[in-house]
Amino acid sequence: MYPVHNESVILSACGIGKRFGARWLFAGLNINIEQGDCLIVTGRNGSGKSTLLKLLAGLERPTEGEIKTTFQSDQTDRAYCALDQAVFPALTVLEHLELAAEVRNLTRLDRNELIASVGLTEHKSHQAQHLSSGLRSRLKIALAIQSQPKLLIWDEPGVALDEAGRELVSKVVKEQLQRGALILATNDPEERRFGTHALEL
Amino acid sequence: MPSSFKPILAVFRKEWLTESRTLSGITTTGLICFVSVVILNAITFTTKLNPLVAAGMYWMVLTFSAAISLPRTFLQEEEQGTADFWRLFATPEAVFWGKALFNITQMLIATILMSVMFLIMLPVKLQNPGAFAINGLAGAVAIASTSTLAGAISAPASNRAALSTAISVPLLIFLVNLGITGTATALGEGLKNGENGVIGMIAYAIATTSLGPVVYSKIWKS
Amino acid sequence: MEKLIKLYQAVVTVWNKINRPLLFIGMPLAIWHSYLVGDAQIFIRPEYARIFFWHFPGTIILTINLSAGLYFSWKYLQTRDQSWDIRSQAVHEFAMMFIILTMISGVFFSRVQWNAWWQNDPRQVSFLLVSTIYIAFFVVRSAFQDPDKRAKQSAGFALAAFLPFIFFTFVFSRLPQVDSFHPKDTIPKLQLKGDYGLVTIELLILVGILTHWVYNLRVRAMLLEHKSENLNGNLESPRRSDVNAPVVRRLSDAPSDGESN
Repeated sequence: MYPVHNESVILSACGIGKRFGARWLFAGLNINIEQGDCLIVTGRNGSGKSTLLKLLAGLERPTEGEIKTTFQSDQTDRAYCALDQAVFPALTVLEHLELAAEVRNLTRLDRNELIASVGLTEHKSHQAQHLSSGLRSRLKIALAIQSQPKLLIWDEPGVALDEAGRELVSKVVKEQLQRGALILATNDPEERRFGTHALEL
Repeated sequence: MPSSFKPILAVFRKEWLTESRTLSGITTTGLICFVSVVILNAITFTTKLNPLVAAGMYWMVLTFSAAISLPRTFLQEEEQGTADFWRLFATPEAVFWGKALFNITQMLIATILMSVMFLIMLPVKLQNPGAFAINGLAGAVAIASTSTLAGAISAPASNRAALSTAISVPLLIFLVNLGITGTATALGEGLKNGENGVIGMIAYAIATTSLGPVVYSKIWKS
Repeated sequence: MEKLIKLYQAVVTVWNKINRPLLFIGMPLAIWHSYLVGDAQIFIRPEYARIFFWHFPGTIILTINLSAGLYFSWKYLQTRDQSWDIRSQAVHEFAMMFIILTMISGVFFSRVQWNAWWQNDPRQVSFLLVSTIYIAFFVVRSAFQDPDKRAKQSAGFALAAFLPFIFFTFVFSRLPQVDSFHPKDTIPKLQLKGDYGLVTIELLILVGILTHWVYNLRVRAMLLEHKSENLNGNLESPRRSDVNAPVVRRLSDAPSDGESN
């Protein structure tokens, strides 16, 4: 069983399993995430990578087992970013960040700086429905790192991004590992380089 | 501003911004109310309406317009895939209250519009404006809270639009009964203890707005 | 606490032994008793007033079922244990059955006493409205294929539906425009007296026992069905096999052989 419980553990999944109908995607899975960890989740299509990340992000409940965290606030300390995650079509980039900040009671954050860091300055007044999929991915990255989370859960980070976007992914991953921990679901060899631990489903 | 209100107002503001850019909800509600009053006017002409029948018509229009349009605040989140945005960033209480607050505002606008048209176009005489207004306002709050919850319950279904209307109406039926009592009294129907209908409506509005966030917090995650 | 649990278990054991004999002996006796009591002379056809003995228990038992449904739904949402959803489904099914039986017995009563199938009485209509609320419960259940979603959303609906149900049951009859020929004070003021009251109570208890017995059978059948579905799932995918259980590996320490943690 993967490491014993200790105080530096920020997320602990104990014996988790997920079933859809009669089909079990996975079961009896134990994961402990500590500060500085980067867990790479790999597997073929349909193996349950995205589902596992959704469970760890608190978006879904496991069929069995338990997930515990040491976060003060799930909304600010845990972040999730995925390709299939949707944004509000009628809201602008800036409005998205304002909304995410207000619902989480985040203060003292420079939204323009954040927008610039993900390369969306010239698009900040554009509605999400008018952004390309690559630009929407950058918006989702901005939303995920806005609260400077302790744990970032990221599904297929590089997909839909151009070369500059992939560099942004590298930068965000490095910053996140300085700040906390990371879980990446990816089959990309470049992104797997960041891993300290691996899990194949 | 207390920190617990800020997220609620943020959800409300998001709904308001989206609505101001699409105008889908308020136009649907407004159109249903407008068309219904015009139809009632065309049916009744100069026939004097019994206050109880008039109150029944008034509440049926409000109920069906709400059942069709209000659950949309939750349904469109599932359609767009943005429900996860709230699950990640917000608390269920903030989401429910924010959306309920928006629906209450929308319902109040529709109720005022509907009431003005109803009193002008239909052959009814208002005897007790205070009771009429309080009953209408409490009714709008109760309808909005109930429809918001019905939307939240039906949102994950594949036939969510049909389901939300199908389950809103049964949940709103008793409210219609209370509303009819208060409105009929305000229109001059000599009901014994008719003001109890208004008090009942206020109690019902409080009960539904309190129940909504409790139920929603239990069902909002998969 | 342990003593209480033991006492409860003892009561359940005794109850399980006596409930069926009680039912099979008691029911014919109660039916026989119902024909021995004098006719209710206030009605046009007094001999048919006995329909009331079957009409009344339904209303009480369905109220108990719906209250239990509220509790089971709440327990499901607290625990996410499918067995609570199964209990909730069972009591709602029984409540629906009693809504229909009460409605049918009322309709027959109306036909024989007042020569009309439907009286448009406010209590009749309100009962019909309650039935629409709980038909909607089953509509919600049918809208979800996934058992967890179905259980969760229908439990939410059951909680939301209980408020209008309570208002219809306890407040509606007191609304000023409601002028029903259904008596309002029969139960609160204990107006059922003598043998009429006795037969009503006898049948209420016996129909209650019958419902509880059939409810237990229904729940046991559904729990077995649920277990067999789970078993099928396990047979298709050997999920607890150590060989197939995914394990996290530390990459930095064991790049080649993949140290298991």
